[in-house]
Amino acid sequence: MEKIADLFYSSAKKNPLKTAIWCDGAALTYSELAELAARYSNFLLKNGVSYGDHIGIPMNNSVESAALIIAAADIGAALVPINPTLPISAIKAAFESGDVKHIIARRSFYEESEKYGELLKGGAKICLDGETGGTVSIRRASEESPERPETRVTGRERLILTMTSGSTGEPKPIELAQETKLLRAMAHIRLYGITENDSVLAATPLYHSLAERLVIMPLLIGASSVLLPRFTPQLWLKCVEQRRVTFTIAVSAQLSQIAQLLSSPFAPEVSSLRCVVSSSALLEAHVRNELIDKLRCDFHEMYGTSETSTATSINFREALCKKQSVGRALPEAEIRILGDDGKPLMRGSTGEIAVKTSLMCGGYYKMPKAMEAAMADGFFRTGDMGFLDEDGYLFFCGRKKEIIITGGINVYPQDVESCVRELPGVLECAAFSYPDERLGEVVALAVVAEEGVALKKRAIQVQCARNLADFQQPHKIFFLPELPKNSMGKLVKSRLLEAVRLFCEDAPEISEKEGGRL
Amino acid sequence: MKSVREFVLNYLQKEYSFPEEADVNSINYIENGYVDSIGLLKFIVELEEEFGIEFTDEELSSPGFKITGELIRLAEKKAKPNENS
Repeated sequence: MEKIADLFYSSAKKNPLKTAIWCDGAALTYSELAELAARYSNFLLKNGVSYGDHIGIPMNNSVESAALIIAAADIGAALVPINPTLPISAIKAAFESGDVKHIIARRSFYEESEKYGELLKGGAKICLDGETGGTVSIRRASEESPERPETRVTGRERLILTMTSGSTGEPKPIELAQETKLLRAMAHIRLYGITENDSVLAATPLYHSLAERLVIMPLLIGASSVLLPRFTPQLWLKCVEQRRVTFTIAVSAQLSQIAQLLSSPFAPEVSSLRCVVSSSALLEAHVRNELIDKLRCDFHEMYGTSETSTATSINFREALCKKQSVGRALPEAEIRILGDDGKPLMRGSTGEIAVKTSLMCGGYYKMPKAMEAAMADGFFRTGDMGFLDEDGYLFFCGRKKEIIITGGINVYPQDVESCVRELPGVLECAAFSYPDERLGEVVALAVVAEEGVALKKRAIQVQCARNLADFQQPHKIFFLPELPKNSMGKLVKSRLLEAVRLFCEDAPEISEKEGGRL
Repeated sequence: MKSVREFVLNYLQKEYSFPEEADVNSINYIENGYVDSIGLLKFIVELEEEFGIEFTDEELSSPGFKITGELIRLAEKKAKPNENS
């Protein structure tokens, strides 16, 4: 079986002087990255990390993080990457659920976590920037051999435990074995025709599987990996142009900001891209058109989940008449639309999107029942709603759990949102469920106006009255400076009510219990 | 208790260190992504809570608020009367 570390070291042997990775001004050639990764492997082994151990890592985007992924793969250890901005209590819970034995983190993490008692008993505590009480500095890895250690890795070992950003609060670690990571990387290399001539940009946090894949892919085939440490649209465009990036997958929220910047007269020239892929949420048509126009490259959208990886893909150059679709199933995947009874629906009927794929994760770590509950006849129930057209193109209609049930009638937030988005002056908006004594729930709408626009509630009411059915009308309209999003730029609907209460004086107090229902 | 300067610099460098050659005081921490627009609110609230201060809307929207050195100076100025009381 092919192994991630073997493929990387073989690329390094073929291209020793080629740039393997660039991040934040630091560039390493393949031979330099190979040496660093080997030193890390030896350093981890020396500090008590054994085959099969789990290493918790509040991970930032850096050359060191990329080298640690290769090092972990080479010694058969697993990484449990976590968002470093999470509260320590949440990190602690995630590490406990992922059976973390060792930690690699920055000094500030260790200093802050001291206040909350011991994070774990025993195990190595490795510090990425200097040294603090009880930790050993990763800089000491430079004393280790630059030769790969001998190990008994088969390629079937667990490599990553990634935490789902579910709204329930309970961490659900998704198991990704080395072979799954490799299958996923190779599927995307084939899908987008990535070659050793590509320069691949990862601009989302490395503790999510998207950026991990974007970093791993080029390193397996001798291409170059570009890792953006922090995202702003300005930094993204500058990086693309300076590093001559040719391929990237970005989340739609990032692309919306990039499109906005590109439409300004001061937008920098971008000339190197050959293909951009949008992921995470459906891109608005005008944003997509702006990007296709300004970036002058192939433009794809994809649909998938952390559990299934990419399930469908669409290239807008090839499917001009399917612009609202998220594409057709990958060769590795099969899509079904399920009804409320769990049975497959006919083409054209809206139901829950379910995916069967050879890129499927290994399950939720130590939670077999949770995975079992999410499966139906070998298909993973995504919790998303959609339909397949007669040509097999998938159309995304919103998330199942986001449905607003008002007076017993289902309202798909996306219907309300796409209507309000048509209104000039609306930058973004989100429809969400709002507790109501009479109807159980009513439609509420959070709106972010474009800068300098004094948007009136009345204008939104008129727009909805003209274009939506009676049950779809928003009963509450709140103006917000921004919508609450997670680190991937994905809207967090569960935090909308909280944001509304924070920013809108006219929002009534709602008990925690009621708020928690959203 | 940490000084205002220490608190701000530690907070902003939680995930990424400032470049060694950079003039820390002149870094625009928003434009350079050290705190994103979502994280900003938490950052301000924590800074206010730590030193018992409150920024006005004018201060929050002033261009200087995004500059590390200017933010530190402003917070120090506000924190001073509290220290004496």
